[in-house]
Amino acid sequence: MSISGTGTQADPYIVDTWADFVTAVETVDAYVKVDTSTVATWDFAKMVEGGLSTIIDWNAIEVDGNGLTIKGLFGTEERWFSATSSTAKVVKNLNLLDMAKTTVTTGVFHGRAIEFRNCKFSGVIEGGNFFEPYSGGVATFTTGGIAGNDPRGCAFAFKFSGDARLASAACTFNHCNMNFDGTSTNTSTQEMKMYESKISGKMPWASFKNSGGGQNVIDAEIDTIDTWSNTSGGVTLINTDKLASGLSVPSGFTGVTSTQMLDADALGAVGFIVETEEPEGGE
Amino acid sequence: MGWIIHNNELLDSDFNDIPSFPSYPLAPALWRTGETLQTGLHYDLTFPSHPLAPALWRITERGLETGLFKVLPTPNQNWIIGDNGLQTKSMPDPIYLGAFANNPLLMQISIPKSVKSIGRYAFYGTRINYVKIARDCTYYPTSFPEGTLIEYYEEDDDTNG
Repeated sequence: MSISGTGTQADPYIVDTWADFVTAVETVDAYVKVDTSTVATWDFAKMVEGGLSTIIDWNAIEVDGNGLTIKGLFGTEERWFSATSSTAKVVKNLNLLDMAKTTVTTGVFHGRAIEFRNCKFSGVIEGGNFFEPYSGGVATFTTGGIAGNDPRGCAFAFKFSGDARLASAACTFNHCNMNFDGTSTNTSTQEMKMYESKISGKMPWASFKNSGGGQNVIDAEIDTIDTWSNTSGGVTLINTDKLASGLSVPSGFTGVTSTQMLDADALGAVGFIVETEEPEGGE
Repeated sequence: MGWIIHNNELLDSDFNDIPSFPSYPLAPALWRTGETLQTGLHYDLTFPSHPLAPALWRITERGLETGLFKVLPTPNQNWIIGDNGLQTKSMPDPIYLGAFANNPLLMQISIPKSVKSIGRYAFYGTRINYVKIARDCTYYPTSFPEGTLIEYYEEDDDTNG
């Protein structure tokens, strides 16, 4: 099927192939929606021989993946997706899973003023960044909002190696669920603005800063603490059972045990408010 | 809206499920490049029909390696992509390997005269350089390391028989 629609908000471009997706996404100020009625998962290796070898200029103002999963992104291009115009952009309901970002690529997304809503990302980040800012820009990973189709936030499962970072700018993570693994040799501080977000798995970075707000959770193994800070003003929990031997809870964070992390009263005692879940089949 | 404890997890009600980490099941039949790969050098391998992260596979001095796990440790040989997947040039199909195969500590053996058959790769990859077997004992060119001197028991030789 070729592209249908006129690319406006009311009549977005409708695409269902990688080639049309690229064409639509590169159209300045376009609204794009993927037709996932027939195929909801695209196997990248089968679509693009040799992987991404040219940058994709992400000029569309809004791209709705409509639940599309692009599986196994890889490529030799220095940057895969670049959104350098100052126009705010939205990417929603799009999943990029099992990506393999090798060291030839400095950033998966490069740009500024991009808001990701209800997206999922997974794969391996070998050096460089998942998000690389352009001209001081940052990305926001957040929910679709109450008025959106799906209020859920973004989710991540990344394994880092080399000098990899999630982002080389202080991006915002709002209602994001993140699972990390691996170890990064990058000595710079990985700063994140976490709002109601959680990191599980393993912290890849020795230096970390949370400059967001609200309640956050780091329920992850921590092997090394060089420079950690929490300027969020909220409560950011650290699971003390997952701290390597000899490490203590960095200043500004709140240490709780695994048991306490599942105890609403214990969490309340340290200022972390947990809502009571309605019992299933309750009266 | 807010944090809840659900199924032994502290979660925010607006969370999306965490996607799975990439998994790399070995699919040897899909590894086809037609190239010979030298350990110690880095290659960006492309396995066109491999569904998972094709660019990530490399040959390093440690063997085939991905960002997630490492396999095929160390043998300092040439690697080749064959019908049975990634293998060293001289490596037989693992399913044929004998019990003593590739044991570098095995330097000397005594095979009784009564032994009439030796497996295809029974002593392949060992450091044996001499064996004595019965004249009617069948074996394969790959049963012993290349260059192994093979002698036969005399008819009236009861040694080790």
